[in-house]
Amino acid sequence: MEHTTLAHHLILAGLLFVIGLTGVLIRRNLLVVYMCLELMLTAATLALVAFSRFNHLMDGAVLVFFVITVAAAEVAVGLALIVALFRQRGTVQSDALNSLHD
Amino acid sequence: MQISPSVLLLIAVYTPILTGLILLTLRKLPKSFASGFALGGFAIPAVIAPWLLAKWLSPNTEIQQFISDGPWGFGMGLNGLGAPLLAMTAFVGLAAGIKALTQEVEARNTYLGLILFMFGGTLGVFATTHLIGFYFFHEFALVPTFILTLFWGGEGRRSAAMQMALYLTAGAMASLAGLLIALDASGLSFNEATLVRVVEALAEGPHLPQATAALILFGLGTLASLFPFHSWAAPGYSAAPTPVSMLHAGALKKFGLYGIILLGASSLHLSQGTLGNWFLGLAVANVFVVGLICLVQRDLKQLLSWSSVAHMGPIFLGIWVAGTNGKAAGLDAAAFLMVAHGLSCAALFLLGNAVRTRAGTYRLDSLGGMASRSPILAALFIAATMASIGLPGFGNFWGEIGVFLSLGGLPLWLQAIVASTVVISAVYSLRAVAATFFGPATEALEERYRVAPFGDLGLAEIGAASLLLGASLVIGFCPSIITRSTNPVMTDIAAYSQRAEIKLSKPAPQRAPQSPATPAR
Amino acid sequence: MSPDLSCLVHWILFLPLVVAAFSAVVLRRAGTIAAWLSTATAFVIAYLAWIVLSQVPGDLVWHVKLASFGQMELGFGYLLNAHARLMLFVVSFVAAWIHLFSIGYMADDEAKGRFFAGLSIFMFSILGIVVADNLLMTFIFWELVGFSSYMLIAHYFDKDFAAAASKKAFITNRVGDLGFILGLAFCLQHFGTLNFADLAAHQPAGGWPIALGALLMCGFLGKSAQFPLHVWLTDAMAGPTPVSALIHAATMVAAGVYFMARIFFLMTPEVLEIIAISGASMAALGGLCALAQTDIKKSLAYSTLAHLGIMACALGLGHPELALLHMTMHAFFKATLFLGAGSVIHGCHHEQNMLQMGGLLKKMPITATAFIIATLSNCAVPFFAGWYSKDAIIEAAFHGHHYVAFGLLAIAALATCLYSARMVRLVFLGSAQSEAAEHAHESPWTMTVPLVILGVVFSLAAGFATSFLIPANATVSIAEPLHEMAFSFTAPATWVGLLSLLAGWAALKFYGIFPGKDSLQVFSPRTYHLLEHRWMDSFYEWYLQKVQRRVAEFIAFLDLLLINGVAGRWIAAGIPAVLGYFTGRTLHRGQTRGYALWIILGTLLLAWCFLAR
Repeated sequence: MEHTTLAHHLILAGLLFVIGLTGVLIRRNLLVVYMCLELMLTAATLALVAFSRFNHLMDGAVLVFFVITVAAAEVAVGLALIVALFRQRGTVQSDALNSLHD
Repeated sequence: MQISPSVLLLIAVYTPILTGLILLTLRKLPKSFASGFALGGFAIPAVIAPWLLAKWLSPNTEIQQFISDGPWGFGMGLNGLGAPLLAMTAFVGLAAGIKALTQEVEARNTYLGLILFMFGGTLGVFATTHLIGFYFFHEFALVPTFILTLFWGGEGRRSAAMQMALYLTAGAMASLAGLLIALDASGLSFNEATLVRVVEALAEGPHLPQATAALILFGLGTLASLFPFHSWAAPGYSAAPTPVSMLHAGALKKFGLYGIILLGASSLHLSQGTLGNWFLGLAVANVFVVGLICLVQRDLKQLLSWSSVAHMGPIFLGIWVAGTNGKAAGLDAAAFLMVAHGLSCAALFLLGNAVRTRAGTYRLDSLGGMASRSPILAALFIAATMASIGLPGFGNFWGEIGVFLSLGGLPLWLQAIVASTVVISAVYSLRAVAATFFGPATEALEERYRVAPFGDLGLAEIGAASLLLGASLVIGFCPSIITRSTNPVMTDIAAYSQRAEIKLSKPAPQRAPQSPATPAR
Repeated sequence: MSPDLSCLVHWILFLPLVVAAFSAVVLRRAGTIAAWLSTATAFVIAYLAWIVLSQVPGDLVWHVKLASFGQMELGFGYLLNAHARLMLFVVSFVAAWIHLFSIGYMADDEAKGRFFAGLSIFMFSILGIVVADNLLMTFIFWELVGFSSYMLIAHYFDKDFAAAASKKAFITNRVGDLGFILGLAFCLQHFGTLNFADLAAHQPAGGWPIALGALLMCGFLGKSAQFPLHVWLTDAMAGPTPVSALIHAATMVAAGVYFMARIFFLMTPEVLEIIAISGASMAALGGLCALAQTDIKKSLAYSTLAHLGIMACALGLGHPELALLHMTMHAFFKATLFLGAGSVIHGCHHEQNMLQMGGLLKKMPITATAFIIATLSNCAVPFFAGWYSKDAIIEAAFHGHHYVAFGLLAIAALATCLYSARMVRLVFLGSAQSEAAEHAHESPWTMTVPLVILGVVFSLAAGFATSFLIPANATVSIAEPLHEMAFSFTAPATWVGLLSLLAGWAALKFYGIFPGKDSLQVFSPRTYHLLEHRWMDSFYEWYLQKVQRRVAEFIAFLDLLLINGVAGRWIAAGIPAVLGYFTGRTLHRGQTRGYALWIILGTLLLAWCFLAR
């Protein structure tokens, strides 16, 4: 089998990103939406690593650590918010959370 | 002690604005005090502006004497087209002010204050040199128009004010987009962007796309009631209080034409290509189709409103023809008609309202035989009508005949359609005069006379109407007052419109370095 | 032009304007003062015009630039050639006497001040047309004359028919002016100048374009009431009689003929052909229709139409001098006829129906004498004023081989004698048919003196005067045919004249058969109705009501529906509605999904904007 090129990695990252994006837009369960957000972050990370490897630079790999840290912080805060929301409303379906409706 | 013209110009523009501000804030001011203040605010520009025009025309004055920096960063100064328009606005404003002072309204101080704002803004439009400044003053004058129509207007004022606001704001937005594109293309910074410099820079640079020209034409055209964006004008003027109609139809509407002439006719090639054909067609439609619409009006104020739309047609045609053949004749005639139409239109609205306050109605079939009861009103109204249909002796004649003569290159049938306004305007105007003043009095009028007997015009109204008609007579007998002022500017503009045309065969040059200030006179 | 002569013309032209402004503003209530002031001014002008006329010949020219639109110059100036000086004198002379007449006629009118101010404005306007040196200036005064006419016809404005008549006159004139404007534009476009002298000096190689003559002719059609714009003249009789005399008989309608003579060099043979035939037809028809009018003024109006047709025919046959000559003679005798009619109307306490008059020869001898002399002049009895010009024109038609025009003119001459005889018979001979006629009395001196001067002196002697008294070189082109014509009795025109006179004598007897009724109506009601019905007016009425009004209402309806309705409301409301629908479905439900969607779309848009640069 021939070597994988940068293009393959980027396509994979792109696919992951699109799957994540679609999930954010379509899924109603907030937790699933959250997971899809994480998927989008992963896709970005993958792209960074791929660039780092194929351009023989360390910058991308270092940036991955930053991304992971930010993702972790975001998950912590976000999940706390979702739990608080569940305690208030008893649901995590985004359809039901419409008190800003005109 | 010699007060320099630039200071006088500032005083002329800002006195109404300051007076208006005082009246708006001090709403509890007693009536006579407020009237005195307001009269001062209306009268001072009317005294200064003709003097400024005379100074402008005298051979020893320099343009620099008129230039100054105004507040808000918009410089003040005059140009050949602005000076006569300023004088016309001042007269129209004074007449409108006299009318407003004789009206019985609620919240009088607010009413007068808003009209003063409108007046000051309109003066500012023609007195400023900055490109965005003149737009700013126009909007400044336009907002009180909406408010006045909405609260103090007549029948149908809500929908009329709404329609006017929507159309005029859309037009203003389109024209602002065009102005900003032009400003960007000229390469000048905001502070240097006087109208004159922008025009020169655009004339030397590459062509702007026709889309920009279309934005300017249709945006400013909507503000000047170009067909087919004219639907706001007739209901708007009909429903608005009379001083507002006088100021808007007489003076403020000319903002759009002012912009089209200075910016569009010179650098944007409005008269060429597809846009030029559309422009011609719409201008002819403005003359002919709107003229036909005037024929079927049954209400005096609506008739006057529609006829003010119809009179914009020859002005557009004068602008169009100058862009095609590079001769300034059409532009000169158009500018003349702008000044003359402002005077006659304001006079007609003023006197029409005098009819309404006496007879209680504007409907032509209820009016009749008023000449025997109010002979002076009849005489002045007939004079204003004659002015409006272009009888020689009044200013409108020179404007109209100038436009007709400059259209000599068009095919004969097209010229005939345009010139048919001479007959059509005579038909509807004389019909209105006969229905209102001649013949025996109708029963409705007799009834009204028993209930509320009316007399002839009061001294104030005679003064206001005579001012307007007198000014029209003066420029009718001495057209050189206006043409000496506009001729140099229009020759330059016509030359610009042709000069840039020649560049089509050459490759687009680099952005030219800023030329030193040589404003066209 | 010598400075004092141009000064004279300034006085002649602007004095009436100043007097008019003064009367209108200051003298509104003091009618009598205004009346005498106007009349005095008119006599002063007539005297000054006489001085100008008797000056050394040669064209007198003066010019000043008023303003310029770009390269287009607007000039004001005087061109006084032989035609102009003659016309100047004729107009001011006739006008002066009519002013005097009006003092008596309008003595008990309340709005005298306004009337005389109007007469002064009219003087200003007509004199402007006479002296103008370029087409634009002529047009300016052309319109002003139309305005004066409007104002004066509407003198009795509280009557509906006066208001309608003034409107009709103005609008019909304006239709002619439309053609005039197109001619002005054409002339300027093709020749670059509107000045008569400049145009005359630069004749183009292929001859003048036909369009120029045809368009300028339209103004003539309107002002001089030629077909198809003749409908306003009969209605214009709604104005006071002096107005009819001055404006609608002697001067304004003749201004069109004068103008055509001035620009005669611009006319092509085709245009002249049209004018000749149209004029001759009008002459015949006008004369015949005059037989069916009971109002004395309307009958005279048709007579004026006929004479204008004769003048037009003379122009069309290529003899502008003859047209001017006839215009001069016509001014004298037609003014007398109208003034006589005015005197009769005044004497019969404003009775205008001829069938109610009668036997006034004994009651109003001076009026009757002047009227009869003027009538004889009208009928072209040899050696009366009208004979010189009218017969010369008929001669010219015959010798120029225009037999159609000759035939029509012969019919016109016949009809002239018929209706004149009818008029004299019904008004002055026989016995009084009504109370008013019974108690008629002669008019005061202010009215009879003009009648005598214009009628007895000029209608009789003007022919002699022009051939012998006025120096031949002053009106050289006009005097020639007179000298030739004086004693040739074998010409065809003489035969026509004799036949007409016989017919007239027969008519005198015919109309006396049924006192109080029109004999023609009794004998042949169909013919009478045919002549009486106003065919062209009916056509115009039909056009205005059925065609023009409907088209205009339809267009107004379309504007309201399509532009105001569809474009304004539907599109302006439609776009927000469509956008609102889409955003409403996703954004305004309070759901985070919608917010997320729009955030992402926004981000993509920004990214595209930045990255696509």
